[in-house]
Amino acid sequence: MTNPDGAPALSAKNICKSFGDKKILRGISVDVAKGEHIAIIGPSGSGKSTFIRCLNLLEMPDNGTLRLDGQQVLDAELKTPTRSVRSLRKRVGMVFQSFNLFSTHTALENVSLAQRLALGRTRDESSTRSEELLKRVGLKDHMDKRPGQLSGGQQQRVAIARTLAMDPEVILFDEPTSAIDPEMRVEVLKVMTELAEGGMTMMMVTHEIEFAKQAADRVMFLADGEVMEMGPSGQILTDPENERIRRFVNALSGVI
Amino acid sequence: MQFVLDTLVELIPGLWVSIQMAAVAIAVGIPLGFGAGLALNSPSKALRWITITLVEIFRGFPALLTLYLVYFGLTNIVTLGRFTAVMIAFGVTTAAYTAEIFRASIASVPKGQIEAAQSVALSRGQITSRIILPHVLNIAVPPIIGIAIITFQGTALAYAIGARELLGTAYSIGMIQFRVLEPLLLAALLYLLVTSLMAWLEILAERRVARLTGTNGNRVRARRRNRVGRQLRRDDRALGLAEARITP
Repeated sequence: MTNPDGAPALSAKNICKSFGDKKILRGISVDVAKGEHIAIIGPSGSGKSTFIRCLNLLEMPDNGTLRLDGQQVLDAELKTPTRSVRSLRKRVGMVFQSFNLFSTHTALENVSLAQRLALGRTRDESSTRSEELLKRVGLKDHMDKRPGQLSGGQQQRVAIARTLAMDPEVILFDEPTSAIDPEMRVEVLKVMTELAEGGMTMMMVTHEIEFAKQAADRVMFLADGEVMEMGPSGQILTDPENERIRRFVNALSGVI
Repeated sequence: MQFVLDTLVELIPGLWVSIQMAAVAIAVGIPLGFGAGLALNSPSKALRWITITLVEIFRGFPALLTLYLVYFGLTNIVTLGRFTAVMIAFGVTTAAYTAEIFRASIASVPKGQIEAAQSVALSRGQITSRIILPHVLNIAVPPIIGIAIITFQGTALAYAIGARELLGTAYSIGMIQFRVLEPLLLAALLYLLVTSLMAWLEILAERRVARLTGTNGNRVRARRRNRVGRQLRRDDRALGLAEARITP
């Protein structure tokens, strides 16, 4: 993928992470170009979630560096993020598997809260922006509802709006449709497809093979904390050379 | 009948003192208890252990002993007025009783919500005040009102240091008039009036919790009775109030 501005939107080098004695990530590197969409697939326990959580420092890597738009934001070897963790998180959004909406706040407040508290927008500015985003994800009539009153698909769309409200440079998705009823997945995937078409830089851990084929530029296959293969999505998802990947992709596509 | 009415009028200032004592004890104790609840959830082991020790001390001491320690025990260092002593002693006692409720409700905030708040760049203080506190307020209010009821009843212990609160007033009227039964029964009635009012607030708060969390009110109440009831009964015993507490 060509990159007009030179520096990748996000560049991770040699990300390592262990929990106790167990090595979860054994040095993963990736350069994500601006506007690029990368799907991360792999068996459970391969470190997909841990890797994506390291990218906005919900997990602190034991080793490795992170650069955003060419700027160094983390040098884990020195144990000092060169910029603060919070300023990194303003630039890298995250969408979780279980939505994680603030249960005591309405949909509108979920989207507005961080705009006011972290970005310093006024109440009016943040409300206007939140309404606009909630309309965009098709939840115009649900703005005043609390998460408990919304379906999984609706909650995930609120969560996407909450992330978009920060105007992030990159959005990370951690299995965004795995906890949603099949019927409701479509509406979330539709929003994600629109985002992808709009040029958002995205990294997504997903098991939605059809969606990945269509929306991802590249696919990263993780196994045992390492990148087993990385390449154009068309090639890896339709005709993988590696036997293990072929079995995995076939299983996800329902081919026996 | 005239005696009853006169006594009732004379008891009102005592009731007012009791209410004020309970109010300051609650005003001191609840924020302190919330702080302790946060400390009990802290990643720092040292902070947790210091807090656990303090909570266990003030939950273990009979409230009367704490009051004596503050009022009489501190006279070598500082002489406190009765009201100040009550505020401090019952403040820390209430804090110790509520700490466990706050600890549990803070721990019940789903971890994912805190991660989500971190992921949109909220600071620790903002997460505490905007995400954790509303959650805790939603679920902890009914059991906290339960503790507040006990704190109010506990103010009767201030009689032991000569405070003119409700029980002390009733007792001295009885001594002066040589008729103890009526003043004590009237005081009991006034205690009952206030605690019933608080119990009613507790029920309203429970309904609100049920509405907000989408759970059935009866289930919430039953769960609370099982979980918090044990705690309340233990607290009652500590305060020597096992007989006095009216269980709804």
